[in-house]
Amino acid sequence: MENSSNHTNYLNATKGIWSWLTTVDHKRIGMMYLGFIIFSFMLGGFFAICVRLELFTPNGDLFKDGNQYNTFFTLHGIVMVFLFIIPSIPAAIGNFVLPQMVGALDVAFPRLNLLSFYIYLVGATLALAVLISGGVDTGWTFYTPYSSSIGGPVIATGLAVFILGFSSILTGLNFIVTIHKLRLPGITWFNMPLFLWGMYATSVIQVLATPVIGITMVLLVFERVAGVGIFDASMGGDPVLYQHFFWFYSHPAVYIMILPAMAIISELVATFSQKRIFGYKAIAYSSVAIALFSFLVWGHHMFTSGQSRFAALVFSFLTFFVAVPSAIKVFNWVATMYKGSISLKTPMMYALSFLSLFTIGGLTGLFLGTLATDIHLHDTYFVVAHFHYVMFGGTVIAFIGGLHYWWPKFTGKMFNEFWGQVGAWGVFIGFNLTFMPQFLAGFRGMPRRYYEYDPSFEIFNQLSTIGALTLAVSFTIVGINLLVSIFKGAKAPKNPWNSLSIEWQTESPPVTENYATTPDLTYGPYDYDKRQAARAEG
Amino acid sequence: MSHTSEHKNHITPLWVYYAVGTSLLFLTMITVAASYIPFSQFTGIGSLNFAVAMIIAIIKATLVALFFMHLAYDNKFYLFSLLAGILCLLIFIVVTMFDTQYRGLINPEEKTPIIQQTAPEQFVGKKHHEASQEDTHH
Amino acid sequence: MAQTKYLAHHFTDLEQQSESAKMGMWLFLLTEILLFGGVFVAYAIYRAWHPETFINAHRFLDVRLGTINTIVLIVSSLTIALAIRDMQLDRRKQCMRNLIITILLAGVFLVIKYFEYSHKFHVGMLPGKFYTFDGIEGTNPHIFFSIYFLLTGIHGLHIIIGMSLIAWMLLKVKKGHFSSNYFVPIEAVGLYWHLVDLIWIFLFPLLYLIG
Repeated sequence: MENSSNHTNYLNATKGIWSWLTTVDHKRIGMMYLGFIIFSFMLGGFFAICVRLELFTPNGDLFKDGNQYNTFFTLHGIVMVFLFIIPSIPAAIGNFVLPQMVGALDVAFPRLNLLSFYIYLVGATLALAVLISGGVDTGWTFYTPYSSSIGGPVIATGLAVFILGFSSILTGLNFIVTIHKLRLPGITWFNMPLFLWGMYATSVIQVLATPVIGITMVLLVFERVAGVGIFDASMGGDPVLYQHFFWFYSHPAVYIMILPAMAIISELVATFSQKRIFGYKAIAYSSVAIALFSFLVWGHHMFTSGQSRFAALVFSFLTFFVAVPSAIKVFNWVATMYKGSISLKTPMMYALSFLSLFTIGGLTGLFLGTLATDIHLHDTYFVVAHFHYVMFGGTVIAFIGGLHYWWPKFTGKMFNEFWGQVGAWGVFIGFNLTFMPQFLAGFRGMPRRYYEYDPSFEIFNQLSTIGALTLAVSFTIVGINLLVSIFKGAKAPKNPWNSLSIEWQTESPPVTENYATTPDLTYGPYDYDKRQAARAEG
Repeated sequence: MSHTSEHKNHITPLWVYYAVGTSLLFLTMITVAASYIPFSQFTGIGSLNFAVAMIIAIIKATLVALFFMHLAYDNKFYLFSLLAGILCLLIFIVVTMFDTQYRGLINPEEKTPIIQQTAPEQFVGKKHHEASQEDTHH
Repeated sequence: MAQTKYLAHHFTDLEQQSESAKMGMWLFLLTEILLFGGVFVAYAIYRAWHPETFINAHRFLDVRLGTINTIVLIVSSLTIALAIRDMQLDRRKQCMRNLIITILLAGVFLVIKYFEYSHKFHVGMLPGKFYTFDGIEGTNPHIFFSIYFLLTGIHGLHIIIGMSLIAWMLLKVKKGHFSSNYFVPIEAVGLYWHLVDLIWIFLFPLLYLIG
């Protein structure tokens, strides 16, 4: 267990803030991203708490008017989607771990990696400037004609989204080339960790879909500046066309959010069951299938918008297919756990949370994908609960789980396991308390994006707000636990979780070059049975 | 990995470049000339001119991609990714047009733009309902 | 080998570096296809909705100038492909010459575009709410010009970016940074330039040759 505590590693190899700002080391870039991503999460969470506090009572008593409330949920959406969740796993965890998993010294384009970090900062700064100047109240979806005609910093917000999109594209591009070109001989497509399959599928979507939100924002800006007449009916345009443009990116975007989360879960479930992942190829192909299908279903966000009924039928039909590969993955993860030697350490608690919460989120998506029921559920709290179950109960939970899992590698320290458990349970309970009542409220007809509501929905909202506050407390515990571990945590061994994935052969924390010697590829990342057999033979 | 060095060292013969260039210029002339021929009059098919123009454009694009951009000689992955991108774009265009071209296919009232629709009888003349006439489909 | 100093530390050899760079540029080209694609979608939909207007409006575009521009871009694609071929054969001077010709042709394209645009500004055929021309029959003629300016404007922007990249490559060739062993940056810029040409190959008939 002894680890040389003073060995030179990527954190202390060069000193001073300038060495960090000009670094091309993927691990440092990942950690810099991590800091800003966590800050964005807290900022987005702040807006969420404000919204939930307002909704504790049926009357609009916290905000001075509906427009201010609209601004707060808009900013919650923009910050959470563009500043936090889309970059989160790829930029913070992927950047660090992906090159190590292929046995490389760095990503394919390290300077491009640094550039995409700075592009992210520019976009984030612009978004924060918009926020400080009063924000926008269009919803994070910026639907026209409202967004093309109102005053306020819509153009700046659109530009911020465009810039942040570029950061996402460049990260995806980097990852695709890294996985194709920088794999060590011996690491093949079908014996590499499934984390890489998930990141690859994510990167494909990032490269293909993100430019479309870019051009959408450009067109929105031109609509405002020059009245081009593409999206605004008063100028001869079609507002539904804007929605097609917006959702052509934003639907695949939600798979940019969930695929990396699933990628993490594959790693967590295998390691903490100490068992070969069940159905490697099924999971790998499902990742690709999800990426492909994600481009075919965007109209299911628009069933009540006025698109043709023919298109609605096509989209509804295709939407059912997109659920299948996700379900296949869930079955395979559960099958992996069967007869495994299960360890319920903190990362695994998050993985188990993911399995239940993502399943609920996914199943409720079916009600929304069905045309007939969506007519009633669209724009109600049912939708809000659905997407929070998949994005938060799915992605954020997996992100926190992955953060705990690789924390010893990032920092060289172990977090306190007891408080880790407390945090995990608190998040799970708080999450369900926040969002389960929202299904019930939505099903009974409570509309979303309303700051006042019928008193019959009050009990659901009150439970939800109490849940939100529970979440805030729990995340504080999680954050403090991780932060304290940096200073007071036990020194982490190379491989605290006994994983077979090769990144655990690096030091904790790793040296700048990742591997001091060529990694040992005797075992593949899931060869737990082989290792067990070898040990049994003595 | 040594087989890939053959790709790197492939030097396209000069005549191929000039042949492609000449073909492209020739096809450009054809495209312009064809645009003046009213194909729809001869055949009765409406958008034949558009189809002809697009087919010629695709041939030109294929020549540029295969020879100028070296796709014919390079790793097949580049060709694959180009086709994937084009497919993605085609899905965007075609499926969006499932909406924009077929409004009113299944229920006729979708065909008229909302602004031009007349309100149902019971709302006509009632002041406080006038504002919500356009909201019936939101 | 003079070129080993251009080998980045995380690549095992120049070949891996070159292939990675090429792959990276192809992926970037995909993003450009989808970016332009968005405006093509808008074009497709509005042309399908207002076919008469598009036909009537496009008559005011100058087919001769458009054809000349198409020829200019095709030749520039040829010259940049020849430039890369020259570098494959270590013919530095010819490579530089072909790169210069490419830049000059791009300049010609922009000059012709300038004339087209200024004519339109003069008569009021402007995008969206600035449209004041009176003489096109059909519904919403300003939408044709909105889309025309968006497509050709974004394309023109990419011509300018391409010219700058080619000029940068010219400088590096002059300084002797490339040889037949390593020239992938020029290839990558060449790919970008070919894409700009490709997009125009579609823009030309869609805007100038409708019906």
